[in-house]
Amino acid sequence: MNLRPLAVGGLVAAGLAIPVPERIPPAPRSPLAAARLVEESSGPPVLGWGRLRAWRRTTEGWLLLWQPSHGAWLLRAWVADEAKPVRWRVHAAPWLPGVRLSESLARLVVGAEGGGDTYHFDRPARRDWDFAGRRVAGALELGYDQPEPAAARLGLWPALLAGAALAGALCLVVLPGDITHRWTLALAGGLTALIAVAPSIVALAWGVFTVGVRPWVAQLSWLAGLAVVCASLVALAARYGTLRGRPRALELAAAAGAGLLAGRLAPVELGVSVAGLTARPVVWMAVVLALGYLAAVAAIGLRELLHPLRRLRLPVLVGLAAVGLTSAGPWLGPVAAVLVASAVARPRATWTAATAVSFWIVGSTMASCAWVEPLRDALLVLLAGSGALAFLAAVER
Amino acid sequence: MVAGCLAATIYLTAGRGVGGREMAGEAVREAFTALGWKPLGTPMTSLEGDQAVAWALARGRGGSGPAAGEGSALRWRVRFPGGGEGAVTISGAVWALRLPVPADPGQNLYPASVQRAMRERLAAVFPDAEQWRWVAGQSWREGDVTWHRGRFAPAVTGLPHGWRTHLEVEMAGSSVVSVQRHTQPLASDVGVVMGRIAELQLLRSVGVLGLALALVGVVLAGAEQVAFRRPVRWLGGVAVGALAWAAGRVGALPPWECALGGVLAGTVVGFLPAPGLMPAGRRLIAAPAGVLVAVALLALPGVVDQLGGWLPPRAPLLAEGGPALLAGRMWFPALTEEPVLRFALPTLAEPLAGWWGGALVGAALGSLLHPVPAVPLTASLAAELGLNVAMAVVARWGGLTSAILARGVCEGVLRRQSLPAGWAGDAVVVAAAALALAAGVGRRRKVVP
Repeated sequence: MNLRPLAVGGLVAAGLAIPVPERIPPAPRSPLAAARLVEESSGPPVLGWGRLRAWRRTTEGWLLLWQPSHGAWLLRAWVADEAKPVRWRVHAAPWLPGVRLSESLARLVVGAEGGGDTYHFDRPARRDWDFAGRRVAGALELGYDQPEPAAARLGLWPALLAGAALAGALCLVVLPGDITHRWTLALAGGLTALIAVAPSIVALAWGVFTVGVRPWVAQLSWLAGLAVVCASLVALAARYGTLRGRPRALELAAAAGAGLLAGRLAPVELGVSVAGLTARPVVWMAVVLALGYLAAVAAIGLRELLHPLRRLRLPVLVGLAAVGLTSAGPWLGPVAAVLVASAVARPRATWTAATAVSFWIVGSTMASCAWVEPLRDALLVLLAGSGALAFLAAVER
Repeated sequence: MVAGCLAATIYLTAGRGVGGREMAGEAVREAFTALGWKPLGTPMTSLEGDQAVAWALARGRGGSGPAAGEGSALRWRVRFPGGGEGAVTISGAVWALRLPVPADPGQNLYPASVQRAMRERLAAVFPDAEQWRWVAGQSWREGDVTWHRGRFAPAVTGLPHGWRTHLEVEMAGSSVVSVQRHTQPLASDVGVVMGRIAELQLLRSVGVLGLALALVGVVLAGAEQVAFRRPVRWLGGVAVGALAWAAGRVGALPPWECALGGVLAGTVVGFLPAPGLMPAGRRLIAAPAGVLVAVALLALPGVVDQLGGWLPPRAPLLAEGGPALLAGRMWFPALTEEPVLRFALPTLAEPLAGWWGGALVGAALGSLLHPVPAVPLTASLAAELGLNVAMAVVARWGGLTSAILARGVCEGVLRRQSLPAGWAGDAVVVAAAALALAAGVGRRRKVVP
C-alpha cells in the first residue's frame, strides 16, 4: 500500500494543527466594509471626499484614505476592530486659503476646552491651530490624530537572503546544470497579469497618496515603479534560469507544512491588505512565482555556501530555522522557503520554494483575516494544493 | 565645425547669467545717501532667491519674462562692511533697505505726522511713494526715542492678478531705518507649483529605483566577470567613481547623492565589459550635439507657452553659485547617469530587448530624474525624454565618452542661465565644449597622420 499520500496529508495537517501563539488579532472586516462604516458615519461635512484610494492594516484596525482628483486635501479614517467611533482626519495643503482665527474662536470651532498644549501655524493664506491633537485649518475642523502605521524595517534577514541570492545567481552561471526557461515564461505571464490588474491593486500604495499630489500622478508613479520591478525580475529570470527537475511529493509536503506554519506564526500585515483586494488571486499567483523563483536562487546559493560543511549542512539549516523562528518576524515565510529549498537537491529547489511560499500565503491569510472572501479563496488554494500533492504522491514511483 | 560650435557655445553662455550685480551696489549706496547716511567700504553682493515663488510668479504671468515685482523671487542682497544692507532687483530697482540706527535719530514725531514724513523721506528712493496707500501704523517708545512703523500698499506692483504686496517702513525719531517689502502670492499659483514639485519628487523616486535595480544588474555582471577571471578595471572604476563623487561634492549635492553617483559610475566602468571602440572621429559629434539639445530645450518654454501651456526654464536657481558649483552640477549627471542609462542598461538588456530596447528604458528612467514643474506635467517629462533620447543617439553613434561629453556641454549651457553672470562661469562652459571638441580632434589626428 502506498502510504505517501497519507504522509503528505499528515505534513500539511501538521502545518495547520500545531498550536501557535496569536501575535496579531485577525481582522474582523474587509477594508471595503470598513470604508462603508466610515461613509455611513459622520465625517467632515463641507469637504468633497473624492474616491477611496488606499487602505492599510495596522495591528488593531484599518486606516483608509480618500482623496479628490485635484489632490489638494485628503481624508484619512481610522476604523478600529473593536466598537469604537470612527476617527477621521483631514490633511490640507499648506497653501490652501482660509481665515486667521483667534485662539478663542478656533477653540469654539472644535469645541476644545482650555489648557493643554496649544500651537498655531501661520500658513501663506490662513492660520492653523493645534489644541493637544485637535486641529483647525482656517475655520475647518481637521479631526483627530490617528495611529501611524509602523515603519518598515529591513533588518538582518533580508540582507542574508540577498547575499544568498547573489551567490545563487553566480552558481547558476558557473555551475549551470540543466537550465530551463519555462519558469521564466510562467513568471513573465504572472507578472504581466499583475500589471494588467494593477489599477485595481493600487489601493496597496498607501504611502504614495500625499497632500498636493494628484491621485493620478501618485497612481502612475506606483504603477511605473511596479513595472520597473517586474521587468527587472523577468530580466533576472531570463539571465539566470531555473534548473530542470521533477518535484518529489514528500519534499513539497514538508515545504507546504513549513510554509503554513510560518504564515500562521508570523502573519504579514501587507497580506491582510492584499486580502481586501478583489484581484487577490492574481497577486497571490504573481507573488508565488516571483518569490518562489527568488527563494530558489537564494536556496541554491545558500546550499553552495554551506557545501564545505558537508554533513553539518543539515544541522546548520535547522539551527538557522530555529533562529529565524524567533527573529525573522514578517520575513519568516521567505526564510522558511529558502531553508526548506536549500535542504533539497538543486533541481527541485524552485518547486519546493514555490510550494512553501504559496502555503505561507494561505497560512498568513487564514491567521490574519476573519471575513469570508479571502478565507474562502485561501481554503480553495489549500484544498487544491493538498490534493495536487496527494495526487503526486500517489502516482510517484 | 569646431569654430562654429565654439562660437555657438560662447554666444549661448557669455552674458546669459543673472546680471545686475554691479548696479546693485551702486543703487543701494545711492539710496542710503538719499536717506542721509553714507555707507563705508566696498559692499558684498550675493544673489538670493526663492525657487517656488519664482516658478509661481512665472506661472502667474503665463510664462512671460521678468518684469516689475521680480524682486519677490530673485534679488541681489548688498551688505556694507560698516553696517547697512539692502536688496535690489535684477533690473536695478531698490527692493528693501536696512540702515544702522543713528546715534542722533532726530526729533521725535507725533504719530499723526508720521505718514507724511515717511512719504517725504522715501520719495528720493521710491519715486512712487506718494501713490502708496496707507494701511496701518503703530508707534512705541524705547528710551528717549519714539519708534514708528507704517504699512503701505503700493499702487502698482507689477505682480500677477491676486498677488498682494505691502511695504513696512520703520522710523526711529525722524530717521528712516528700514524699508521691507513682503509679497503674498496667490494661493492657487503657489499651489500649482508646490503640487508639481511634490509630484516630480514622487516620479523621481521611480527613476532612482530604476538606477538602483540597474546597479544590482551591474554588480551581478561584475561578479560573473570575477568568477570567470575576466579582466575587471578596478583602477578605472575607482578613478571614475572618485571623479563623480568629487563632482557631486563640488556641486554641493547631498552626501548620499554623491556617494550613490560615485558607486554607480565606478561599478559600471569597473565591472562591465569594455565597450567596443568607436572610430575616434565620431567623438566630434559630442559638442555640437550637446549645444543643439541645449538650444532646443532653451527654446521649448516659448513653444509650450504658444501652445497654451507653461514650462519654466529647466535649470533651477543656484543663487549662491560660482564657477565651481556650475562645473560640479554640469558634470555630475554626465558622469553618473550616462554610464548607467546609455551603457549599462543597453548592455544588460541587449540579449532580451536589443541595444535600443535598453536605451529606451534608460531614456524613460532618465526622463524622471530632472523634470521641472510644468502645465501640463507631461510637457516637462517630454522635454526630458527628448534630451535622453538625443543622448542615446549620441551614445550609439559616438560611444559612451561622446554621450558623457555631450551631456556635460548641454547641462553647462542650460545651467549657466541660472547663475550670476561673470566670465568665470562662462569659461567653465566654453572649456567643456573645447574639451569635447579636443576629444574628437586630438584622436583623429593620431589616426590620420
